[in-house]
Amino acid sequence: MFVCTETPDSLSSMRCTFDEQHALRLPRFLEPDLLAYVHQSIRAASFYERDHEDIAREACMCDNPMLALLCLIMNDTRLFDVIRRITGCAPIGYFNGRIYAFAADANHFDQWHSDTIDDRRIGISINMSEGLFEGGVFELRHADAEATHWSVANTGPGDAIVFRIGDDLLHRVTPVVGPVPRVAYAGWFQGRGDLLSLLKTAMGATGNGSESLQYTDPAATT
Amino acid sequence: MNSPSIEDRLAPSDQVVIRELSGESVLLDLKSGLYFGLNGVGTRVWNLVAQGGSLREVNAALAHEFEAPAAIIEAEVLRFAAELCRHGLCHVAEPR
Repeated sequence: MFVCTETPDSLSSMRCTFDEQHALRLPRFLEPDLLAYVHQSIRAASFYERDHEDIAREACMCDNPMLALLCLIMNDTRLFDVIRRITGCAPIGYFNGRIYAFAADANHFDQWHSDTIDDRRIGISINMSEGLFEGGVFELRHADAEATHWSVANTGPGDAIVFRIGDDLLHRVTPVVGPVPRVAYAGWFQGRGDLLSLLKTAMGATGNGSESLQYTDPAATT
Repeated sequence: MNSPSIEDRLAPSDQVVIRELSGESVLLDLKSGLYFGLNGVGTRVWNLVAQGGSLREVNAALAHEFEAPAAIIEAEVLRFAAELCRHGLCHVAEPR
């Protein structure tokens, strides 16, 4: 399901840019048919308000088959290899993500934070918005500096941004100001864990034969 | 629903996505959002089924690859095929 069309030279160039910026935009990360399926699912999905201490408030999508599919797509060792080539990060074992929405009239916010928990190595945010949102700019800065080091609105449909996670780096998303909500599939490439083990834990099974699992975030079982 | 017979061919549902992970597999049913785990042998059976062979041909291939009595392999293949059908991951294909 994952196809990388970049040449080795192109990946090397991306690595240089990432080393300098600690972040990079990946245009058309999701192919259009998949993005159309995602949009259709988002329109039918339920969201709940999620508060993360004083750091963030967002509308978070409830579990559904589309989220389960994205989880399978993102937990691909071929993708992990490409992310490592672009970012130079240590080995990746697992991807953990969610879809969230930021709306202007819902008091959604995101403070500067580092995300340095759960052995997170690289963050990613894929634009799933339908339409052009205003505000909602992703910003990255060094922890010991006030000035923003890198920023992008990332408004291209299916475009992704990847960014380094580290104690010395902070990031945030500025408030949305217009009528179109900012919707993103955001998560982290982590060192610890792997999808198969997490699913087995969630199933409470040894993997013999066929076992079923109603999809919930596998990481929630750890 | 009738259980498949040894002469049947199974067709994977077009609503199922498979991802092989470390010799095992995770099947995702896009209709229900259910994950199903297959161990190494289950993954081998799934791949043989997906190639379009009859369950008799699946059985013959497994008998070549695993040291077990033929009757036990056939019984396991039929049990597993019935499970796949019961969960809607496969259906009995029309005869060629």
